[in-house]
Amino acid sequence: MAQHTLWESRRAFVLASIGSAIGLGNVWRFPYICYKFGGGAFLFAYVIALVLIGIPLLALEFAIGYKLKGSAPYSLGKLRYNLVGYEENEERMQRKGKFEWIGWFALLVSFGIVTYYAVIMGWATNYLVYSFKLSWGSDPRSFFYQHVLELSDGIFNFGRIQWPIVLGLAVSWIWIVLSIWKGAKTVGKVVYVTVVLPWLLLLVFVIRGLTLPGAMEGVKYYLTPRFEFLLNPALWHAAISQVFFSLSVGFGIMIAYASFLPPGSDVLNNAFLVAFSDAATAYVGGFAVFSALGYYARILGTTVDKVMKSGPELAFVTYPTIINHLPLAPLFGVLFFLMLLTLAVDSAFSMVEGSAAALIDKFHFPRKKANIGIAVVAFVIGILYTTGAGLYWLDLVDHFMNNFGLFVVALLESLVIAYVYGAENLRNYANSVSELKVGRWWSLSITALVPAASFVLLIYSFRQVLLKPYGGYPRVAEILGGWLLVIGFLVIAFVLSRRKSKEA
Amino acid sequence: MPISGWITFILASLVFFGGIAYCIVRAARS
Repeated sequence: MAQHTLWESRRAFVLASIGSAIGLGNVWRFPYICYKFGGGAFLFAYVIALVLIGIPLLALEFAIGYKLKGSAPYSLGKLRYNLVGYEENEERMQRKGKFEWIGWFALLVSFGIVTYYAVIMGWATNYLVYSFKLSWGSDPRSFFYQHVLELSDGIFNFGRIQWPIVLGLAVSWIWIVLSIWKGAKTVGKVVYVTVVLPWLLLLVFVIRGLTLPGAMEGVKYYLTPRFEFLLNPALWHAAISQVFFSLSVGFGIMIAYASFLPPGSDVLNNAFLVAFSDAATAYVGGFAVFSALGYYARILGTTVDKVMKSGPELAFVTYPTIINHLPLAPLFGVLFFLMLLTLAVDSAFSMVEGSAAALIDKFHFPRKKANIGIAVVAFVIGILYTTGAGLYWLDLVDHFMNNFGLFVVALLESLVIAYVYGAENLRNYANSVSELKVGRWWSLSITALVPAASFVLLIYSFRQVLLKPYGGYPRVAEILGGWLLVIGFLVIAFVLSRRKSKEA
Repeated sequence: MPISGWITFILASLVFFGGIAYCIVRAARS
C-alpha cells in the first residue's frame, strides 16, 4: 500500500472532518426539516439519533481507518483478517479481502454525489458575481429558473448547456483539486480557512438576521416544540436520515481521513467532537435561516410557514429575495454566497480525497494524477447538470445516492463490523487509543441499532419509489438516473475489488 | 416565543455547545 502524507496536527484532522461533515445541508436542509417535524421535538429526536446511531457509525469509520491505515476499500478489504485468532494465520492473511467492494461502492456513491455537488458550487460561484449588482433583480425566482438554469419543461428535454455554470463548475473543480493537491498536507492548511470562514459568516448572518424586525417570529417557528410529533414515525425517519446525511458517514471519507492520523492519535473523542460540531453548525444555521424568514414574512404580511423553503429554492430564490430588502444588499449577497461556497468546498474535496486515496492505495497512481483524473471525469459528467434538464437529474440522482447508496453502505459496514470482525473487538481497540471510552452501548448500537435503522430506511425508500416514481419523474428516467447508477456502481465496485493491486 | 421555545433553546445550546466544550476539555487534559 502507498504511504500517505499524515495530518500535521490533530486540529487539522478535526477541522478537515468537521469541514467534510458540514455542508450545504446544514443550512438549507436541517432547519427546514426541524421546522417541518415539530421544531424542538425534532431537536430532541435528532440528539438521540446522533448519539445512538450517528456517533457510533462515525467512531466505527474513524476506528477502522486509524487501525488499518488505509482508504475505505483497503481497510474494509483487510477487516476479514483481523478477526481474533487470525493474526497468526499467515495463509489467511495473504488471501484477498472479501469486503473491499463495500469500500469501492461507498467511494463511487460519494463520487456520484460530488459530480453534482460541484455544479451547485458552480451556481454559487455565478451568484457570487451576480451579488455585486444584485443581478437577480426584483424577481429572483424567474432569474434562477429561467435565466440561470434555463430550466426545461421535462427531464428528457435537455435544452442548452448553460456556459456560465460550466465556467463556475470549472472554477469549483480547480479549487477542489488545489485543496487536495498534496493530500492531507494541503487539506490540513486549507481547512483553517474553509471551516473557520463559513462559521464566521454564519455568525454574521445570525446576528444580522436576529436584529431584523420579525426575526423572533421566525425563531418561534424553528424552536417551539410540537411534542405530538414524537409519536409520529415520520419524525424519527427524518431525524435518523438527517444524521446519516450530515455526518459524511457511509462515503468512505472518514475512513480515509482517519487513516492519515499519526500514531498516538485519539479516535473516539474526535468522533464526538466532529459530530457535535456538525450538529451545532446545523442548529446555528437554523437561526440564520429562520430569523431571515421571519423578517421576510413580516414584509409580505404573511406567516413564516408560507415562505419556508429548503434546498436550492431557499438559497437561490428565497435568500436573494430577502437580501434585496437588506441595507448593504450587495455586501450581504457576496457574503452569503461566499458562505455557501466555503461550506460546500470541503465536503466536495473530501469526497474526491477519499477516492484519490483509494486509487493511490490500490493502483499506486501518482497523487496529482489521481486528483486531476477524478476531477476531469467528474467535470465532464457534471456538464449534464448544467443543461436545461440539469436540475431534474440532480434531484433524481441525489435522491438515489443518498437514499440507496448511503444506507446500503451504512448497513453493510455495521454488519461487517458486528458479525464478522466483532463490534466488541473494535470497541476495545477504539477505547485503548482514545481519551473517551465508550461502553457496551456502542457495540449494541453497531450490532442492532445502526443495521436496523439503515435497513428500515432502505426498505422505506424502496417502498416509496415502488409506490410512485420519485418526484413524479418518468420511470425511464428513474431507471437511468437511479437504479442503473446504483447497480452500475455495485458492479464497478465488485470489478475494482477483484482487480489485482499493483503491489501484489 | 413561548416558554417551551426558550427551554428548547437553552437545552439544545447546552447539549451541542456543552458537548463540544466537553470534548475539547478532555482533549486538553490528556
